[in-house]
Amino acid sequence: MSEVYRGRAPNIEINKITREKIKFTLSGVDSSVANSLRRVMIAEVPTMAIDVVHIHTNTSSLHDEFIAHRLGLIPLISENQDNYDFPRDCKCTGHCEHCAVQFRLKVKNQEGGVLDVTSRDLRHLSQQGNDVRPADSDGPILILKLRKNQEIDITCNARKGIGKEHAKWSPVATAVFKYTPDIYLNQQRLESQFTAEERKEIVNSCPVGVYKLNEESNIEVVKLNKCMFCEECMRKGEMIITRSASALLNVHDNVVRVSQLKDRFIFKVESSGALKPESIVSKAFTILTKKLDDIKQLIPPLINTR
Amino acid sequence: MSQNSHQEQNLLIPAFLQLRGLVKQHIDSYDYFLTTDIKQIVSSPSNCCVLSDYNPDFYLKYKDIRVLMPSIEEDAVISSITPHECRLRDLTYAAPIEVDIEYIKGNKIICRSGLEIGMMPIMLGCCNCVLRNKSEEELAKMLECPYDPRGYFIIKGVEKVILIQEQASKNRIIVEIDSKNNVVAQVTSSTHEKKSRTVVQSKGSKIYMKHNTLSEDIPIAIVFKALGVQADQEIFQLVGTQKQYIDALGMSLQECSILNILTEKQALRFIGSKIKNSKAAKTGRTKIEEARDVLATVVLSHVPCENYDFRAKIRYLGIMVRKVIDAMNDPKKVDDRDYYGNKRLELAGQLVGLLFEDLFKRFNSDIKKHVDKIFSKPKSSKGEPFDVITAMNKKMITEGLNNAISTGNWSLKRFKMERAGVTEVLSRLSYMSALGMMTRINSQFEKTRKISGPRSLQGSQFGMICPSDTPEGESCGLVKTLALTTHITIDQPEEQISKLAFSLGVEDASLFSGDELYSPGVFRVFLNGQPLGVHRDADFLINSLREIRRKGKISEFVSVVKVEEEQQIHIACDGGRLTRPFIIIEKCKSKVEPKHIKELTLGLRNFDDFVNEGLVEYLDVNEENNAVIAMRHENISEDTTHLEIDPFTILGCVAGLIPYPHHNQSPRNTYQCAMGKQALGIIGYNQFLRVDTVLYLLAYSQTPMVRTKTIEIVNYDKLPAGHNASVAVMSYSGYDIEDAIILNKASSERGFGRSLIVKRQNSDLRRYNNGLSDRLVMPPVIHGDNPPPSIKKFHALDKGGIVAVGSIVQTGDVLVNKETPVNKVDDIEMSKLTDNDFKPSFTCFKGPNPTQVNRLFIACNPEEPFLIKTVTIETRPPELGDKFSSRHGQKGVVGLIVQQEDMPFNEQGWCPDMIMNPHGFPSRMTVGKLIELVAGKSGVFQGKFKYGTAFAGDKVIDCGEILVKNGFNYTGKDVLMCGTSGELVGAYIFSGPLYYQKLKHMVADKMHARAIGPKTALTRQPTEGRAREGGLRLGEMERDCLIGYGAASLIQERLMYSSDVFIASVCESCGNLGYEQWCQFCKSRLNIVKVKMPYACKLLFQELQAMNIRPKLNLSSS
Amino acid sequence: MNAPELHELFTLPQGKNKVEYEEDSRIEFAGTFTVHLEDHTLGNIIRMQLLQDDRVRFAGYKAPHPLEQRIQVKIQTDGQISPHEALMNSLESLKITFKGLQDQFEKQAKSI
Repeated sequence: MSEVYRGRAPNIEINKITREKIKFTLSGVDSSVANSLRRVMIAEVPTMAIDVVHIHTNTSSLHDEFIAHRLGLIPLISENQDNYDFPRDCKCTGHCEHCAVQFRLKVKNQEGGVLDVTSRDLRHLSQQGNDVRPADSDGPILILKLRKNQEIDITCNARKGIGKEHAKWSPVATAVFKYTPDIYLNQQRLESQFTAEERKEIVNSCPVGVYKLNEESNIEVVKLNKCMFCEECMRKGEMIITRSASALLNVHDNVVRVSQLKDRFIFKVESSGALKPESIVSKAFTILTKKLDDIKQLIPPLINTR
Repeated sequence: MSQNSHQEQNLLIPAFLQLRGLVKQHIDSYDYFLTTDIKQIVSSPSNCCVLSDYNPDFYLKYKDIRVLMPSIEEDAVISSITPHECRLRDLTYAAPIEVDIEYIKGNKIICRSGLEIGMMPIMLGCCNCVLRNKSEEELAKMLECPYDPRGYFIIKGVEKVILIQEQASKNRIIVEIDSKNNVVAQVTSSTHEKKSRTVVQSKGSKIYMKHNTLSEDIPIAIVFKALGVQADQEIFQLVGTQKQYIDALGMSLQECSILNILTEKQALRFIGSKIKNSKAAKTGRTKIEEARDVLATVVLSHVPCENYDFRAKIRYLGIMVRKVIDAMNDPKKVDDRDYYGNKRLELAGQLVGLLFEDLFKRFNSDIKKHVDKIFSKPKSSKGEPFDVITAMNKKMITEGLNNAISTGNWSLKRFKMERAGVTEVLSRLSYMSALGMMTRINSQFEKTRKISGPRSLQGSQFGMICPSDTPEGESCGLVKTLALTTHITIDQPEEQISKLAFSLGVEDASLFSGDELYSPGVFRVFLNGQPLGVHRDADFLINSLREIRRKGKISEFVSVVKVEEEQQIHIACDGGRLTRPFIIIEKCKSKVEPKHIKELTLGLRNFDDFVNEGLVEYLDVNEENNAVIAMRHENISEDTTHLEIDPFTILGCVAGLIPYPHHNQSPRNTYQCAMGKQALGIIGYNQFLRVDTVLYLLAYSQTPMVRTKTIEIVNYDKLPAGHNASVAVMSYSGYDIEDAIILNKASSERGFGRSLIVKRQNSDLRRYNNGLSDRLVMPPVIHGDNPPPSIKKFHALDKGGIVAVGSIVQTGDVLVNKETPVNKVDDIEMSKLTDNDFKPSFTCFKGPNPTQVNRLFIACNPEEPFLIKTVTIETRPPELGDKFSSRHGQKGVVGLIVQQEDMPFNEQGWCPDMIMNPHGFPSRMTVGKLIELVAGKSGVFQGKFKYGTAFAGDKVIDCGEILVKNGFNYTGKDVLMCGTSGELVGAYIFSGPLYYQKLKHMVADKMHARAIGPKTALTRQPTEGRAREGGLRLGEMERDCLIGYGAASLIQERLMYSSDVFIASVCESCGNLGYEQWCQFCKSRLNIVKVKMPYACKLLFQELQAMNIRPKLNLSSS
Repeated sequence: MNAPELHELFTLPQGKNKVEYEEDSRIEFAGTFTVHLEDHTLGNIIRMQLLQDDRVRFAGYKAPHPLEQRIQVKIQTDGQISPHEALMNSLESLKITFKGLQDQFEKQAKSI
């Protein structure tokens, strides 16, 4: 595998960025690098999330722990998480402005009917930390509902953490890569041994429509990136060969072959709303580099002790 | 009919169940009891009045009886109650029973109406229940769940179900072959007054009658003669004059002349001499009189006999003899005991009816005793004349009913019936377990007997009883479940039916001699097993009766059956028969037409209209035999008389949850039926208002992606128990062997499988006989951060001595700081007591994890003045070892919880919640699960629920097409990438959503280990069981292994040093055990040595000594 | 109740160093590095990078137990360099790779 990409330099190319999604192509590296990047994005890029909840009043129909769990899962905008320490690294006991942002959720339904309590009702307790707030770009997030005269009064601390500790700190909804498909068509054989009808069969066999018949009714790859390696086309090709007389010639040579390019990965990262997608990626690189650096520094002492 | 309208007829099922509810059978039977049966009991001649032996003028007569609406009397105020209040306050949901009476007081006749004689427990949802016919909103106001099945009782705050009891039908002749190969025709007669069993039996070539009041078998001819049939010819005519009957009876008749019994008197004398426990001597009656009495009242007691008019009995006996002879000649005529048409189901109404009658009789006999006592004494002229109302003990009926329902012991003195386990506490583990319990049928057979007949699925149970839902193990097949549309009949008055039969041309049997009954071409007509008469045109009678039934002129549950081979027509209107509805087919056309269905959907008609208009009718098990029933529309042929409404109704409500059950190996469905009841979920809309001892709930319960029609009908979609888990069927890490599953950590953190355990702890401040009572005490003040545990356990308490709501408690923490007075006997004033006169008796919390106190209830009820209920809620995310199961009997424990990034993923970012090992499939053959996955996956992309209804449901082909359309593989397999290395997984992985249930078995409740800990007082050995923090037993088999291995020291360590080692003082000279260096036998301390032995050994010696056996220890040093 | 303690994810076990080395007693130029508090993220890239090195004869890694937060990287070289040097080299080149990618990424992200 290593030979495949040895010659090529690592390269990254952003294909598309939106508010919550990014698509980029990583090439010139092997799957381990791509996967590490993915893993770090899911599990090790820190964000802020509500972690400690104090419930003063709760007369809602949901019980305390249930609400606390729901609060924790609300994504908080954490672009400035670097300003905060991990609680375990902070010198304070309990919480301080360096490691926590405090919110208060105090709602009472006085009007009657059903009142929705959403992430918009979360208020900062102090001036600092206003940069950390519930992600709101897709509308408010429902926490619970209150009936007339029901009331909740909660203070909660948002703290910094990583997805490995709890999924609520994971900044991504999905972080995923796919291999680039590599489709080989033996056009010569397709033309000589296959009828136009059979070629059409191959084209139609693809559930996602990777192929098209062009004007000369030859198979053409039109949507390469749609390919999901289901190998339906390969199977169809083989099937046609085996049922035709030409089966005897050379069965093992596929007319259509789908494989993966092992050094080119298409990434798709979708943010939970806590971080901008591009910050997730770039933060992931930083974390990976730091990880390597940390270990590297610890190796020379080991040589001496030998 | 178009394909479309075929499916529409299925709408009848929801309409049927909507009208009926799932537990209509219970409620109907109780309604019948409260409205009709109770009045019949009180007005029956033996119950309706109380007389006195000493005062001929006295009488007490019951004129009417009513049961009112449920209420409670507190401080002389009567207020109505709701079921939920009863649950919370540990009350009984009961209503006063009122009677109107007329009696003699002094020399006046007094009428009194509305006199209360006791309290009747009220079944929820019955006609006297406040919940009857209430809208969802009204129910919500009463804190009731609208989907609660009801049909149970609340006794002292506990929900109790009277299970359906199955038994052989009463008052019907059953022909069997006994162990000695004799043909036996037996009938169990059961009336309100008596219960007896009469047997007609062949023995060799003779026929005898057997009865438990008679010490010997009586030759049948003698019985006939005793009943007044003196001519042999007449006997022949009663049985049949064909050759086979004459041949078979010949020997029996001969016996008469051998014994020289030729007249009625001789026969009666003969029978009279065989009566067990004869009272002839005592009462001064002759044997003849006594024999006649026995024949009239005890033998075949269900056959009416007035003024010693034995004609009906003679005919009945003739039929029994005929049946025996028939069966002797043709083994095919022997009845099948397990045939479901021969079974009757007893429901709450009948059982409470029996009990009430028994109690009412006792109530009356108590009154009579009291009255006799008063009148037997010489009358005192002074004072008020005796009022019989003072002799009434209201408590007797109330407590008799309450005790029976809360213990489940049904003991009826007059039938000598002693039945245990009739009631059970309604299981609220999940909605389905409650529902399953309400439809459960208990059979009277002994569990220990190794019999397969009553356990196996009988053909006649088809459609009536769920073929899947039965427990495994000892009660397999004995405990059954009703199918979805089964209805159990209630008693219907016979008079109307018999009148109708006579006017339809039935010729009264009493007008005939025996011969005419059996003339060929004539059909004998039976009503509820009793011969009614004969009819010459069977089809006319049957068709007219059915026509009348379809017109709604007689009850829809009357069944009319023609038995061609026996030339018999059976009409039945008794209670306890199983029936279910069918669509009527006439001339190959369904009477239910699309327009009817349309009206149904528009709400213009309901299910009853279908029945009343004769489009749909109920058939019982016997009448099904006369019907040609088409399973589906396309099966209708010329002979078809009925059409199944929908095949899936053969399953019960629990088995109905399984998607595609018809693709599964049958036992898997049975396993799921057991497990569906253990699944955590939502148990009702009022679940957080309830105060059950333990309640297991699921935090984010989801409605299943792949549904069935049953799910919607039984409202499982609204009260579900499980999650739609994304499952990848693949091997992963090796921690998934033996059905273990791998769980995604992120999923569990986001709420998958998160369960809530709601626990309630009771603690009541009791009042003692000396006027003292328990008291609440302020907890000690806690100083500093690290108080000793003895103080720290009070941390959660409020100043009042009760735990503060919202605080977090751990095992051992005090919830209620209660103190009990030391002296509970002597009269002391409460105010004079000091703190030393009380000893602490606090209630502690017990549980594996820190738990939050959610609610407190402080209530009172007539028995307990101060009742404190503490409710805690514990949130439990899934952990290693928790049990999960799909809906196909595939259970497994969590083997590993894996970080999300380690999970395999597909290129769209999907990653599984759960990984299941593919080895679970080949041997289990749960193809339904595979289909559920494909259907669920396709449903996800369509944004629609899919249906896996039994014998129907969405087709795999269609689901596959949808998958392909959405860019997925047809078979549901995906290309996945490995989460740890990023490389492609070397196979296509079958993945998609499957409905997974979390079962109640959780590690946190089971995990247990101990080093040292408590010991039992008697043997000084470690205690047993987790609850007592017990030791782990090194059992006999383990010991055997160690012996075999020769690990002597290990054995000694395990069995003595680590258990109950004891240093005994043994006297070397006499060999007795001593005590503290002293031998009491030798009166010396000279030869005492110390010996190590298990305490149990020392105990054994002492116990032997106590039995005058002297064990002697001969000591030697090694 | 059964889950490993959360702090095990972040704190080193008592008396352990973040990276430990144990020389193989039987094979020359071989040894096992134990890296605590790391998982496949690091193990896999190090292993792949080590395999690029012609002087490395063997490189492999494992996470010995799913509930323990450590990985073991086993390296055998041909003697030209020590396992330590091999590891150092691969860490360095990985660092360069990531650094380069990050720079490239950030430049592009800014321009969009």
